[in-house]
Amino acid sequence: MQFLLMGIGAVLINNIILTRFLGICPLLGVSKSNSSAIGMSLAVIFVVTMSAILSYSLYMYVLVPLKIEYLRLVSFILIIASFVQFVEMFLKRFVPALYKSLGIYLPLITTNCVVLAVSLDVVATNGGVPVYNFLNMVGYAFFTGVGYAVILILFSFIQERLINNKNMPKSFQGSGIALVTIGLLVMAFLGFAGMI
Amino acid sequence: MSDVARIFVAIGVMAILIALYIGSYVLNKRTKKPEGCKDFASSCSGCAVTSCSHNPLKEE
Repeated sequence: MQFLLMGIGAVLINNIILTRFLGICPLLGVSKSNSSAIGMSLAVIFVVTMSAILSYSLYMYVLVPLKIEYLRLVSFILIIASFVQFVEMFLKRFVPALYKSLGIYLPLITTNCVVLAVSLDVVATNGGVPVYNFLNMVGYAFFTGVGYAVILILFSFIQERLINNKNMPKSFQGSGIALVTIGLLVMAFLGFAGMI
Repeated sequence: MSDVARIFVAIGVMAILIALYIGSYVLNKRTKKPEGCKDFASSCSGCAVTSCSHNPLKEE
């Protein structure tokens, strides 16, 4: 039940794109076709979850015991970048079919600030006590990735219609109407606030 | 642990992480791409993410 509520919260109520405006750049860049959006979504879900696990482990078992927690930001950046390289290498070598479908989106993940934000969120403390235990952390990271994927895919369907719209005023074309649409999505999703 | 020792530990941890990144980057570069994936960069028409290594704008 707790995971269900966490999932609903991360996808509908506290969606990381719509409430914190993180990951807007890949959202605008990759949402021009559905197939790109689906490929990017799968890559984001996997990388967000795995890098949250790695970052949490590094923080709890290395940085905290050595009392160098202040290095978390730069450590997480390096961990995420290294992990993405390893994943790309693994896919190239052992799962070429998956590399073919995800390969082009993997380098984009390193520039996606959602991954870093989730890694920083999962090591948050409240009065010195960690907010998430390991299982909750995995759930939070996974559902945040799913929330990102839902918005990316949803927005790609809207973008396809916007691109094909011949009556669009010139000043609105491209990023202009895309950002207005994201604003409307934010307002629509505000309707879920208070659901849980 | 003294403050000076902690600074050296921090430098050591950072050195390990940087080495890990450099190692993974070099290994990834050396790993051959599977058949049919060699033209990823040329098939990419470019999106708004100009920091991506596949984006044609990066080549300029």
